[in-house]
Amino acid sequence: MSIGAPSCDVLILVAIDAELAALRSVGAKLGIALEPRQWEPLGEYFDLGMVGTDRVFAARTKMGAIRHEGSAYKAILFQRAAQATSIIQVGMAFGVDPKRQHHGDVLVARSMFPYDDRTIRVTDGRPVVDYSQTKRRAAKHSLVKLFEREIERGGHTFGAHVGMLLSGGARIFSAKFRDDLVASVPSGRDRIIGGEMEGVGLLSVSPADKPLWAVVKGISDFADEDRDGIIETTRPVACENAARFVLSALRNNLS
Amino acid sequence: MANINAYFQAEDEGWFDHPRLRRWRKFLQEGARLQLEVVRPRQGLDVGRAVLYVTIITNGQDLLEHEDWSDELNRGLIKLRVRAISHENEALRFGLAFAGAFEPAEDRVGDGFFNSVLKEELANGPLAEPLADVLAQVHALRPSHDSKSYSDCKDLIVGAIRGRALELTRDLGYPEHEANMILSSALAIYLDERFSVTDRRLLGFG
Repeated sequence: MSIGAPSCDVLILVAIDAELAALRSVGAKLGIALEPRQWEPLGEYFDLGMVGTDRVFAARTKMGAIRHEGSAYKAILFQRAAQATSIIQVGMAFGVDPKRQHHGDVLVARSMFPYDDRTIRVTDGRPVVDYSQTKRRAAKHSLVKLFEREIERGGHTFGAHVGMLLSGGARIFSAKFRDDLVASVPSGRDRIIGGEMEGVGLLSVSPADKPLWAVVKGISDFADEDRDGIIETTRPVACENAARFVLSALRNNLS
Repeated sequence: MANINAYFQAEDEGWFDHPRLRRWRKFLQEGARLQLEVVRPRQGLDVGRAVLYVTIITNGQDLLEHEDWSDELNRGLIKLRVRAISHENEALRFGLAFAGAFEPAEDRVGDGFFNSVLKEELANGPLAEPLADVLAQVHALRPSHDSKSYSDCKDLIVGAIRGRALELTRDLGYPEHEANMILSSALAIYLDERFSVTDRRLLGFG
């Protein structure tokens, strides 16, 4: 290896200012510094040092999966360059069940459903969405086990849900669209727990049968008409809770 | 109406639940010969999905069947003593198999610790010399031997390697010197993929 080319075990990705700020803030409370570094081929990243038994880097992507410098681009380049064997996307997401979920609860993806991958057919003269050919993608098994152990350990002030996350490019402010989307996805082993925008970009990092990724996000809203009125308050809590959950899980591993 | 007891009839050793494996076993029982080729195309950074191509040589005809790679199908083919077409292809096959074989260790201890123990074990083990080049490109810290999980992780790693070694010698009948060569090449393939060694070089990082 060329001298100075850094490497890590785990790469954490965040997409917006609030997510990075939360990672920094929680890191400070847990005694984990985010040391800014520059790496000429890839630009800025953060070195968190050893968190538990993992060498951890963090990097900021643009919001969404497919735009330039979005999650797909950064994940592929950073994973290859830093030899990361796991990638965790951390941040905020929408919940799908206001009765059983709360703002700030953490969502852990055991699997992901890329909802933009769909066929549009016509039935009785009307367009209908067909997800029968869309494949669910499993998250990295060892990461899901790590997060399940953290949930069992308990001690957090927020709830945690493990299941399937919907991931795609829509910014949703409609409860009806959200509910129709959930209803149109074929049921499977994992129940749908929420949705977000960056996870789908991680699917391009590695083959489907060898996933390197996990997605852990806090509920900032329920993708409904109330979103805009509450987001300024709920966003920082959602991001902090997700960051705290992930950093705690890594730090507590093998302890 | 079918007899429900048919559901409770035991299969030999439970290896052949997959219908493809039962079909291939039936061909073997009828005197056919089977040959395996594992194909995983690579174009630059793009590594395609691995596919198992099984050629069934029977009654003067060659039938070609294929399935996406699965650990289950591969294990079944090993139990059926079906070799790959070459040592190089056998190494690719076992390199792919190591991902599943090491999963219990990685699940148990997580990435960082697994990476550390794996590198140390291979660097100090009997295959250190043939793996020296690829291990030089793998970056992991030295693991703490005081950790309560160290011996568990090491045992799981050694067990996974030992299991593949026995598959090569006991099940597929390779003499030990050939099995060693295949095993070290397979581990090199596994390490290259896990730690993005070739990808890193192609991108100019290593």
